[in-house]
Amino acid sequence: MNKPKLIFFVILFLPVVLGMGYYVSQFYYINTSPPCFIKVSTNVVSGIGPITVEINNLQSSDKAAYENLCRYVDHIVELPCLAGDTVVNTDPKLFDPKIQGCFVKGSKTIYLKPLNQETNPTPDRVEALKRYATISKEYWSTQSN
Amino acid sequence: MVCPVCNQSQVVTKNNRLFCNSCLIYIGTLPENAKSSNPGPTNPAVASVVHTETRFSTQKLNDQPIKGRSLAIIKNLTGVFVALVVLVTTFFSYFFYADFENGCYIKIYPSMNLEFSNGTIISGLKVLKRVAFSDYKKVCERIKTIRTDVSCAGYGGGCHYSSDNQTIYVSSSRENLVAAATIIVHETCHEIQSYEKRPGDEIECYQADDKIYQKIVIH
Repeated sequence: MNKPKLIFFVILFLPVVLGMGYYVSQFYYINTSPPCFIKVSTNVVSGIGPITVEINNLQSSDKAAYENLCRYVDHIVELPCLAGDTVVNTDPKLFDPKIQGCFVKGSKTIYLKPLNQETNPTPDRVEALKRYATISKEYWSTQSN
Repeated sequence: MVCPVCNQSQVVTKNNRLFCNSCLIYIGTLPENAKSSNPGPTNPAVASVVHTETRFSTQKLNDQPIKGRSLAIIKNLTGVFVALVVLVTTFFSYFFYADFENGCYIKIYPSMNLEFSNGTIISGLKVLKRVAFSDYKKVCERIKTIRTDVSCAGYGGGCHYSSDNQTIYVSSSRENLVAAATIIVHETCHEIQSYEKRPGDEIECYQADDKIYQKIVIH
């Protein structure tokens, strides 16, 4: 490829590549060693910072749990997770404040309870990551596909 | 000698083969006695040998470049065709849910509020297929279209209009997989009520989606 053509392609594709890089950095947790690629849906204000720190904490504290997370979880959603429809289900367990999230069967998605005022990562959520990654592993180990 | 393909430029030797600088293709091989041990650009000595001694049939000369060019064109067209198929398939897979094994085909319209939740709806259907197959079969039997626009239940809800057969509205957010799966089941329940000519009963449908919550969520 001659030089003017190369410059043309660089000018054309550089913004696209940079834009994609920015998007991925804002919405994905990425690590190369060991390979880990997880979509993170969180609120725009706190961003993926706290979840990234929590995942890194899990990596340093429990390597096996971290590997489970990377292998059996592909999407972390920061939203409250109810296990019933509150219109007809009055089970008080649905609103237990100790519940830190959930695993969605049939998917590799887990929910994490959003942080309240503080944006600091919490040990509870690190434990929740570990727990739901283990549940996901157990679920997918028993599935044929 | 002049290139017999383009009749424009002199043939030169390159890598012990005859090369046309105008067509940018090899048009034939040198006879053994004319091959140079020093491959490179035009070798005047060899060129003269070619001019005076080499005699090959016109048929042979013309066949090779045409075959080469045809192959190149076919290769290029194949690449473009494959890229086009991949693009079109990727594009339409966002607007259609197809499960050939169970004969389940559902159109999913994009939302006007740019929620881009079609992918989540498709994931919700897959969750139902894996975890609540009987409910999934009901969805497949009764629903042909899912619209993701905000409707009567507002943002994050769902809706079914009895006048709009086999169509449900699911406006769950892009992230909320649980909501997508449960709303699909809730609105399918209304579609079944409508199909069976029963009055709309919200409690029955809330109970149906509550069962799905309990099936798919593990705390």
